[in-house]
Parts: sequence; structure tokens; C-alpha cells
Amino acid sequence: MTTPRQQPSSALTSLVVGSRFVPVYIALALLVVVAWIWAPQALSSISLRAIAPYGAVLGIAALGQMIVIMIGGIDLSVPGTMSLAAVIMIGVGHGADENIGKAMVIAFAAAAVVGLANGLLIGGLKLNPLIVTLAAGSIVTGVVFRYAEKITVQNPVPEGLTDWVAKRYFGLGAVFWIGIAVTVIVSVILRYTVAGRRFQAIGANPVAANVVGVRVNWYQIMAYVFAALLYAAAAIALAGLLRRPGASVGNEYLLAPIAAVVIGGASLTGGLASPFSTFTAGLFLIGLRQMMLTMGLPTALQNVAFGLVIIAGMLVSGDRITKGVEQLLRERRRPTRTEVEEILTPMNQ
Amino acid sequence: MKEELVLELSGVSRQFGAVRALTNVSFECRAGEIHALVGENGSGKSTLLGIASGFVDPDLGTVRIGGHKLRTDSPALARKLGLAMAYQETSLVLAEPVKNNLFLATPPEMRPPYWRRKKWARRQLAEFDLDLELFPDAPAGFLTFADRQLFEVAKALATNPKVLLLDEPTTALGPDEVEALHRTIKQCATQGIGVVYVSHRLPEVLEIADRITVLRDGEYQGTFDAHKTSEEQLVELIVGRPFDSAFPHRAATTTEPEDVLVVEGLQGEAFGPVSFTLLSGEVVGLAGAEGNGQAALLDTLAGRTPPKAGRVECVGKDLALISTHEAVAAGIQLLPGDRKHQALMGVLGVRVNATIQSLNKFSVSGILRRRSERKGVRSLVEQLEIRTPSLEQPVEFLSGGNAQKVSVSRTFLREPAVILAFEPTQGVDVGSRFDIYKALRTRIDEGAAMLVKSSDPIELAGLCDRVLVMSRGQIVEEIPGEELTELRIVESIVRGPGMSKAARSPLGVAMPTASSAEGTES
Repeated sequence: MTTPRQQPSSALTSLVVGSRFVPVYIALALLVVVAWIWAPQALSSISLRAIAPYGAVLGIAALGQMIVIMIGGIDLSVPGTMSLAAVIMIGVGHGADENIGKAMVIAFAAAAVVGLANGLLIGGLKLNPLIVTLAAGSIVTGVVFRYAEKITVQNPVPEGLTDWVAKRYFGLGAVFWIGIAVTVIVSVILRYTVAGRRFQAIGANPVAANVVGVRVNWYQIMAYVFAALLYAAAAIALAGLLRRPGASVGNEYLLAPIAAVVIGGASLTGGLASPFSTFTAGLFLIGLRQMMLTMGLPTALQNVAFGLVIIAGMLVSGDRITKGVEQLLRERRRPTRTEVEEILTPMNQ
Repeated sequence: MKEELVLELSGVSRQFGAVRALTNVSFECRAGEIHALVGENGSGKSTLLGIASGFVDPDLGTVRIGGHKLRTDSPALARKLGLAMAYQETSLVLAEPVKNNLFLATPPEMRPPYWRRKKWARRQLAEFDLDLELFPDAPAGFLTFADRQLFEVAKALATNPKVLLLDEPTTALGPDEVEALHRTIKQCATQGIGVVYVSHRLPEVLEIADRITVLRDGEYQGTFDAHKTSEEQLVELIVGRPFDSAFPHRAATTTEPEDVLVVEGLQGEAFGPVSFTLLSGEVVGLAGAEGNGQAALLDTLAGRTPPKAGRVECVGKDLALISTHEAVAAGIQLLPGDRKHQALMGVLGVRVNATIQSLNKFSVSGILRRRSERKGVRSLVEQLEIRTPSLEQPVEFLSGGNAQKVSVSRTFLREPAVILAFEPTQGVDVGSRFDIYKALRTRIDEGAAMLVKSSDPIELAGLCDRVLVMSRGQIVEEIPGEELTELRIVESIVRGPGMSKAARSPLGVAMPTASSAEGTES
């Protein structure tokens, strides 16, 4: 960052602002240490290779949720949308490789329709996002079950997809690298494009964004559509990983993506979020689950522990950490006499 | 009695992040005195009040209320010791009626039986003598901003305090209401209440205060006898440098002025029909008592609330005014008065806030050129003298004046044909005011037209080429440039058919104007 040198507080400011995204990396490091001590087999390359794609799937879904949360919304239709895309891969794919392209296009299109409906109701008609997306999720789930009756839902997805998903590059599965690519793309869009900038502005203050002439409604609608496309991408990858995803494959993705966004340090009131820390949070959550699995915790206990970790994550991330760091700096650091003078001189000229 | 200290702060320091808000400041208020606290925005006044009222704990120093030491961080204890505070941004529960708000503010032992609170509220309000005729059942959100501010004071008085802190109590008040408020405050002082009066309106301060304490950049500058101090002396102490001309000079016009904004029979929910024309290079003021449709008119012109009828033409283009996007694209740019909620994205940095309206200028086919963006903003930061540690500093950490400069900087990057300025220097310190006037003047001299809504007649007289006076949503008078003085504007507002008092409906409930809608919307 290029700033005039005589200003001492710019580094401090970026420290305070950036601090919200740090805990997830610490948590991941902590997880690795804990695993290394108690469940070293969870860190074996086989184990890592097995869980990385699932972490990426959660990461991609979490990025969709992050986009929605950034504009001050929330999306509870993730399970429905993901199941829908997965079931389309079975139904349209018919287990034949030549159908993969067609199935993917239809899966993305169907998800986009769900996102568009959400967006129009929330961004256009200003309905409550919580209730709208919950209702939309219920409708989509209904559609999925009806559709699942017409096709043989126990069938596998086309083999080509499964094969491709199983391919490894640099030691890790294709899905993982796709997750990284999506993260980079979302980051670039947010940081380096006009649309991304306007999007950030809406998240930070929708009223002011409207005043300065940003088409707030349009961007809100697009956020839900874009998010739905990411859910579909996650679901297609997941379908490939599972081979026989079934009709309720999305059910696990109601809380987990939201948890990842929160642990990733996003502000739940909108505006601030980091794609990289959100994706990392996705990896962390899956890693945690895997570790508990290797440690042999019963499923019931796993669920409890999982919930506790999410709550603990909320306690140490986002707005609270920013406040905490600010507090620490205030108590630790009293400016020296010269610093006070430095701050005052430009004002007294 | 005269020497009894009701509030005593000694050696108080406080730091927020990297910002030193207060450095070793001492302040005292005697029983029965009105002690004014003046200083620029960001000079530490609000922090001092926060510390006195127990909401902010000092890093160093002690607070005593009525001789008792205040433990850190305990507003409840401060209240119990007899301290009451009227906040600048009022602490009303907007959805609850007036009677409940008053009931809530009153300590339990002084409350009437719950079912009698309506009658009680009416009697209390009359007793405070604030000329505040409110309907006890009216939701607080329906009150005009002026009434809310007076009611905030009434709420503080309801606790029967020993010390009364007033934080900028007159920002939304018209001349009438200020007078009523001052009468009440003086009454309080004669009863032995110590009053701390924070304001940046120096004439008011000099009129009412016994003593004046000046803060600059968080440091104590001295306490003075109000009767032996002049306005010029105070300004010098506040700004820390001599203060010559308060308003920048107009450049001689070289080009023939053209019609930039033509408004014909424009009508909205809370105003109209109004007709007027803005010429290029012209500043037109919008005066009038608060809540007479000025805010709603600006909102409509900016595309925030669609008009009911009428025609608006900007640089030869007819506008439907159904979206802010359209208005901004046509060259109309609003500088909202409520910067925190309506103008700035607080968590985002100076750079992002400055360029949000001119991203096309800093991008090639949708991809931002961050280097040219930084360069553009950096030169503007220097030109407008925006005091910020870096271009990435979140604007929520800037003082009022610097935040407004960020908002004004947008007009430099986008160069709109029409600037709508709503209270351009509200909550802005004396030093930054001149910078802001200068910046706006630069835009005007380059051919923009500006419509300024201000409740400060001095500002209107100094800044404008002519002034339109609004009353009950109509333009009732136009004061031409040659007659433009502070006195003339005040007279026109005071004499006008819709004086603040008469503008209220008989029930004391304000019409649901845009200004009251604004508060609930954000």
C-alpha cells in the first residue's frame, strides 16, 4: 500500500480492518495441530485427498452464500437448489457421457431460475429474504421429489463426470482446483470490476448506494442468481463425487455454508467478506468433521461438537474480532509525545 | 451554592484505535451555571460528553458527578447520580408513542401509574415550557426533527437532573424553537441545575452561556467568561488560526448562463406545486422553517421519491424521476445531509467512497484501473485537504468535515450539471466549512448549478446568488441577490405564512413529510 510515510495510523487501520478475516486461518492451523496429535491418520495423504474435494464443494456453496450475505440477505434455499441440480444430472444425464453437457446446462439453468425467483421477490418486491428463500427451498424440494419419482433416482450420474471428478492434478482432485479457481474469480470480480465495486457499496450501505445512483434492486437480484449458479456448480461436483447422489443430497448444506461464511469473518450486516477466508472456512469445517470421524466420535456427538464449533466461531470472528483488536490497540499503545505532535502538525498549519 | 461543582472531569484522556480523541482535558460545571463546550467536529466534544455520562470509559483521569466518583463504564450510575443527557441523534423509540417514550425515560420512582401516563405526559410536557405541544399518543417517529430534538431535551429534564448535558440541541431547530429551548435552559439554571451546552453555533452559545470552554484536537484551550468574549476570539481559538473570510469569492462569470434545471409545477406528497429554474454557474438557496417540504423536494429531484405531478428538465432532457440512477445519469447529484446513513459507505475506504459515482472514468470495459483511480483520489484528497491517514481509511473513522469532503469529492470526479446540497455543513467544523464552500464554489465556477437547502441563514446569505423561501411545501418568496442578507432571510422565514409553529397541525403531530419518513427508512 502506498501511503504518505508521516502517517503512523494507516497500518494500524488496515490491521484493524483486516483482523476480521484472520481467525479462520488460525483455526485451520489449530485443527491441523490437534489432528497431528490425536488423529495423525487424518492427515495422511489418502485422507487429505479424500476430503479436499468435499471441502471445496462446501467452499463453493459458501461463496454463493457469501455473495448473498454481502448484500445483507441470506439464502436458505441452498439444499433445495443443490438437490435439484444433482437430480438433473441423474435424470438428464441418463448415465450416458454424451449427455453431460446438456445435463450441466439444464442444471445451471434450473438453479438460475430458482435464484431469479428469489431475487425478484427479495430485491424487486422487498420481501424478507429469510422467509422467501425458506419457502422457495420448500417448493424446490417438492419439485425435486416429484421429479425423482419420474426418473430412477438411484441411478448413477454419467461415468464421464465421475471419472473427471476423480482425476488428480498436483496430488489433489479436480474439484479442489475448481474451488480455488472459483474463489479467485469471485475475488477478482469483487476487487477489480465495476460491478464488484458497486456490489460492495450496496452491501456496505444500500441507502447510500441508491442515492449515488447504483441500481440496487438489479444487483440484489443478480446476487441471488449468481449464488444459485455457484450452488449448482457445487452440486454437480458433489454428484460426481458421490456417483449416486440421490434426491436429498443438498440437505447437509443448509447450515454449513452459512457457518463457513460466518467463520470466514464476513459481516452479517453486509458489506465485508473475503472469498479466500470463506473458502478456507469451508475446508476447515469439512476437515473438522473428518477429524471427528477418524477419532471415532459417535454421529450424535459429532453433530453437537459441530454446532459448538460454529458458535465458537461466531464468538471470535467478524465484527467482534474487529472491536477486540481495536480495544487491544487502544490499551496497549499510548502515542508518544512526538506522535501526538505529528498528528497535530498538519492541523495547525 | 455558586461554587458547588455538579460535574467535574479531571485529566481525562481517551484514544480510539489510533485516533487520540482527548488528551488530558479537565472540565467542570457548577450548579446553576450554563457552561458551553465548543470546538470543531472531531475536537473531542462528543467524547467528553460520552465520558461524563459514563458511556465511554476514559483511559486516564476521573469523573465526579455531584462530588461522587463515577466508576468506569456505568451510564446507569451516572444517571443515578443526577446526570441527564439529550443526544444529538435522538434516543427516541420511533415506533412508540410520545407518552411511552417519556415514561421510559423517567426513573421508576418518579413514574405515574401506567394507565395514567397519557395525562401525566401532557402535564409534564407543558411544565417544561418548551412550547412543545405534542399529542401523547403520536408515535415519536411521526414528529418533525425539530420536535424530536426538543422532546429529547424534555426526556432529559424528566429525570429531574442535577447536571444536564445537551449535545448540539439546536441542529434541527428554527429560531422560534431555539428561543423556547434557551428559555427553558435558563429556567433550569436558576433552579440550580448545571447545564453543559455543546454547540457549534457560536451566536447561540454567546447568548446563553455563562462560561465557555474551548477544545481543539482533543486538547483543552481554556475556559472563558462568555460576557467578555467575542465571536471572533472564539473562532480563532477553535480553529487555531485567524479566520478572515468565511465564504469564497465568486469568479467573474465569462460565459452566458444557460438553463440547467427547469422545474415546472413539480408536486410530491409533502410539497408543491413548485416551479423554478436553475442557471449554470448559479447557487440557489432553499430556506424555510424545518419540515416545510425542502427535504422532500430535494429527494424528488434526486429521484428518491417519485413525483405526483409536474415536469423536470435537466440540460434539455425530460426526466421521469423514478430512479436515482436516471437522475444521476442526467447529471443531478445529491449530497445528503445525513451522511452516515445516506451518503457514505462507512466500512469502505475513502477511495472507494469517492469514486463510486465515477467508476466508468476509472475503468476499461468493466475492469477497474486501480492505479489511475488511486492517483485521481490522491490528488483530490490533497486538493480538498481531506485529513485521512490513508486512501483506504474507512470513512466511518473520519470526522464530520472530512466525511463531507469525501462526499463532495464525488462532484469533482463526476462533474454533474446540478448539485443538490442538503445542509452541506451540518455537523461540520468551522475550519472544514470554508474548505467545503470553496470546493463547491469551484464546481459552480466551472458551470454547475447548485440548489442548497440550509437551516443556517448566514450560510445561505454567504453562499447563494438568490434564495427561495419555502413554506408548507410551496415557494412563498424569492429573495434576489442584492437583498440577500442573513437578516432578510430570517425575516422572510419568520414573517412567512408558515412559521414553524403554524406549520404544525393542530394536534402537534407533524404531517408525515419526507423528513420524518427519512428517519424511519434508514
